[in-house]
Amino acid sequence: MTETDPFQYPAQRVHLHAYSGSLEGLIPRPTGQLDEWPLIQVTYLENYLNGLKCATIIEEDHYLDRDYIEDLALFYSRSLRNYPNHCRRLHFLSRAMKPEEWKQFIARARGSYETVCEDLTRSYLGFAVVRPIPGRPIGRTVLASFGPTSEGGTREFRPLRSYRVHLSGLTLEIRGLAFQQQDQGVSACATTAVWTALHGTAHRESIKVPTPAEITLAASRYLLMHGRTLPSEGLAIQQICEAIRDAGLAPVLLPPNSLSVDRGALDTFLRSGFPVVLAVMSQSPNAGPEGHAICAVGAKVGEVNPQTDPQRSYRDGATALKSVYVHDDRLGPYAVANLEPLTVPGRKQVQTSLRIRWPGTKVEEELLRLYGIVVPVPNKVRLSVTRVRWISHIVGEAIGAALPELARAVTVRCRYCPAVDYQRDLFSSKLTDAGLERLVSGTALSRYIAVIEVSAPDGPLADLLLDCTEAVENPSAIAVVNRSQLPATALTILEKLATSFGASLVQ
Amino acid sequence: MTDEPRKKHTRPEEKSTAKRQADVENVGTLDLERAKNVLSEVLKEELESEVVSPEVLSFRMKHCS
Repeated sequence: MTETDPFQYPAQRVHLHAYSGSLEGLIPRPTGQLDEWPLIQVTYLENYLNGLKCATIIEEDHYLDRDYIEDLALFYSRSLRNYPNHCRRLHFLSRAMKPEEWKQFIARARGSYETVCEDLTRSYLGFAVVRPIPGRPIGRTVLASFGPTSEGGTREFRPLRSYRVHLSGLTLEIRGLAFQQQDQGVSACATTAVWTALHGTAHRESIKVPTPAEITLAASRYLLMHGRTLPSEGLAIQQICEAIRDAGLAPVLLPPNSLSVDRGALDTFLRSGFPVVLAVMSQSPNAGPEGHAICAVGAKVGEVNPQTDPQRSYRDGATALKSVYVHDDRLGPYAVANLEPLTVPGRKQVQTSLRIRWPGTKVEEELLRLYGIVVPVPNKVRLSVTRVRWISHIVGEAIGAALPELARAVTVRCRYCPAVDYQRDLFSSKLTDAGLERLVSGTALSRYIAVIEVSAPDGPLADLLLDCTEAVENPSAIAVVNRSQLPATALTILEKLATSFGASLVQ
Repeated sequence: MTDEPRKKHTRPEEKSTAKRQADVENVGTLDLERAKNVLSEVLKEELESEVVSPEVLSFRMKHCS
């Protein structure tokens, strides 16, 4: 075998492949691979690309991936095997394209760069980095999610973000959230789940997203709970909290409670655009004793449950959350997990479980019990979700009882929101000019506000805005925003609400 | 990995009997204190949801095959 000159610069080639439903040619079985092949993650990816109607794959055969190169520096460079420093990157398109057409695209960009980029972006489905790690090839992968329409509900993917991708000098964009398979050298499931979550929240705060290597090292810096750091032996919840803190964000940790409480927290955070790390344990009879971590990145929302408790006069909007979409590194991105009640001996309240489908495998469905929720949030989000939800319940009950003709259909739902985003949305609301000016020019808002949305079946009633920088013990209401169509005689309700909270009424 | 078809439920369709907001005539008094008292017992678990045990902190996540 001829050895290439190690000091020669690498060549870069771009290859086009028609996608026929199989990635076997692009991710072949490694020699000596003992574990099951093809990998479940590759099968999942194939099925997902079929769902997105992928027609073409463009392969860059020399790609330097920031996350992999740090894993290499930390771990793989010290192996006997000579792991290369580069990956391949596969780009997925929904349009069929031949090599000659690709060349024409490049040539056309000389005269109309923006137009060509927009044209290509319209059929761009995302990318997957293929690492030169034989048994764990799926690196950073960002794929488009499915659209909003789904049987049984609406899909909402608020935690997703935009990624700018450069291919052959062209600039493309894809909206998604990064997924990867754990490599088990530098990262186990907990590291990859935290990494996905930070891709969302750290990015929106203009904080550098740490690599999996940086996350694992930060998590193990002060606390080594399960043996060695590398190869990774997994992380405890306490450790992932430390990794999130090291990344410049605050870890919100919620222990498991009842399905109602857990769903309320999940609904609030996902509606706020914050990905959520879920600590879970498989309930399969042959599952091991160790837990697993996945990252919730989207929600399937259905109808709000009607109120069946005779003591309550309102509905909890969080009951509309039926399923979450998770990045599960054992499976793939955007796997749907149905939220279900789980009766556990010795526990008074019904616990939370997630049922995930494993299509095309021996295990068709898997039930996971929730053991904890960890959410990286910006440091200015101090007001706890428990407090926000508690206030929303009180407001919902008070308004629902005061407006009996709304037949216990007053609904409350919560989210955290950057104040500038809330103000921007007001410009397309039905607020009066005076009200708009008061809120955008005459009211000081904290960087993040908590918004308690009160609504009736025929539309919104009011928003209660809370100062997120405030601690639990202090009053935190800033304003009550009238969004209702109530007659003037009924507006006394909102006036009393504002007065009781010490907030201003804006209409 | 895509959504399952929704299972058929047998719960009857609930028709909303709520009035339109603009047609509301009967307006009671907003009473936050009463609301708080009603909910304090009913939603006790919501208020206790932030207590973290050592067991939760040391819950280990590694890998499930």
